[in-house]
Amino acid sequence: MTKLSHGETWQDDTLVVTLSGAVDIGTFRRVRSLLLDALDRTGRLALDLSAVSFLDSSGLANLVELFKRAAGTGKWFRVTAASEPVCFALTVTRLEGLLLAVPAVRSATRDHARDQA
Amino acid sequence: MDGGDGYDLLTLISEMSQAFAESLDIGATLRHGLARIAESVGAEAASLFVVEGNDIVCHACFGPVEITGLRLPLGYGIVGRSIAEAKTVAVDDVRADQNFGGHVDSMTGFITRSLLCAPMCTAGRTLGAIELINKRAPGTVAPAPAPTVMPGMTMTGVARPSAAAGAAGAPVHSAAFTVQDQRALRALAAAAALSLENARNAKALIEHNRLERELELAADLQRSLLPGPRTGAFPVSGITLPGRVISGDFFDILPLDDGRIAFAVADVAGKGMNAALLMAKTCGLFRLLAGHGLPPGRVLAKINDDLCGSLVYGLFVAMIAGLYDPATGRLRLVNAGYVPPVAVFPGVLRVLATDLPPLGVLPGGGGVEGYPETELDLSGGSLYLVSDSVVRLAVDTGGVGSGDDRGCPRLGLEGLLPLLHGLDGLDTQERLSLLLDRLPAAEQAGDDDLTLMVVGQSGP
Repeated sequence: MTKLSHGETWQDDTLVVTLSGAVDIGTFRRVRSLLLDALDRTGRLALDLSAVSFLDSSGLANLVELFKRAAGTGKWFRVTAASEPVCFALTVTRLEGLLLAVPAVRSATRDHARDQA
Repeated sequence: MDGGDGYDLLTLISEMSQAFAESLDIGATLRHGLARIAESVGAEAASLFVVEGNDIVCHACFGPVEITGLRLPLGYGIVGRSIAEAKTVAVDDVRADQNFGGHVDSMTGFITRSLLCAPMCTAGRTLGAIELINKRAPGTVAPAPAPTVMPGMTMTGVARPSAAAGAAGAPVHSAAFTVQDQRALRALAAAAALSLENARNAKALIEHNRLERELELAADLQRSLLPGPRTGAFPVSGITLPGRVISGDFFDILPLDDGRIAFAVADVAGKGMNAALLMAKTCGLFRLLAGHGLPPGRVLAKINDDLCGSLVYGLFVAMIAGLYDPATGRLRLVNAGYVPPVAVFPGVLRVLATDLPPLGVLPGGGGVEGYPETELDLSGGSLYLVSDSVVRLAVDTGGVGSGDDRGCPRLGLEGLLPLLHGLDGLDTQERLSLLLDRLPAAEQAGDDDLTLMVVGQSGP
């Protein structure tokens, strides 16, 4: 069974949801309901995926659904921090331009560089 | 062993366990078991309740009133208490017991005096309970059961007095249930619980097998959507290795009447049946649009418009569509979120990057003109297209699955490039086989589907 945990904090008017573990087919329904529930409660939702070890195409679908839902309701949604596997998955599918907030790319690149050092 | 109650407990238990072990009809065996134990113990009536959601439902009964199908709220009455506490409950005089519900009595005219109830438990779960009602005093003759049939009764059912002789008002000399009766009932309850559990498992297995057959049929259909093997050299070839029975990957190769070849590779988000259905839809749309010679930019824009209007759960399709003219070597293609394809010329590798996200995410992206196409002269070279499962492959040998879920380095596009050297001079099918051999543990991409395609004439 895939392990996943999540947490929430508020930064001003932005709800920050942190996921850690694997975001994949095994956690699809859980991630879907917790993210949609979070978006219902805020106009600005930031997702911290810096502790996500694995993101498959089902996990990407979770993010895309949230993006579409937010766009359709005039809300703001971005991935604000991303681990290297998350960055890889977003880059390969060219979804990073839509989903990643710019500082997240920098921070992920920096983390990656630090890991390599 | 006769415990002094006029019946042999050991024989009764062994008989009932045997009957359940050999049972082909769980309902009949339960009814027979209830009758057998009621007669042995000398109980006027018996019933078996099974937990169904928030209710308990009578699945079998014995005695002057028929209550099979009766539905009571979970926790109702003495039977409810027995189930909730997973304990055997004996009540010598129900009128003095606060748990006694009396609903059945008031509905049927039956008079309950004493009760013995045992839960049906398997490992950690209580499936229901069996109750024996009104132990007759020794020497009392059992009245013949004359059931009043009351199908589909519920708590809200209309009370109907029983026509059964010997039910309401008939003098029955009652006695208390004994310790031996409790043992007998517990043994029956244990055998019945195992038997019910087995029946449920058998039903689940049948359902599982049915789904498996349906899945195999879906997989057959899916394979039929892929282009069949060609005899002889052809300038475009592809291969898909499904990670599961059914796949979210597909490729297609459509020779057009004017000699050009339309082709596509796609990777549908998600796995399993929803991915397979979306794959079939995308494949159908591609054939329809590209088969009429529509350029790739417009094909993908139209598919995107359709998918944006119909997709749920954030599903999307990463896809490349292309049009290749073997006569001139001219190639046009559009990449929507798929791994960048690599053009290989003697001594030169060129990665064709894209900025387009997958299909089904952004509506109206293509406009009337369609998505902008990349144009390329492929004369003397080849184009390789690989699914993301290829660039995710773990680079150490002997592993299973992709690099990122195992925490080890993945092949990446950089790792793929050196593998594309030295494949010229072979036809496209041979090049794919050779490339597949070169990929690290390609046959074990975990649950991921793996797709390769090559476009281009065999080299000099």
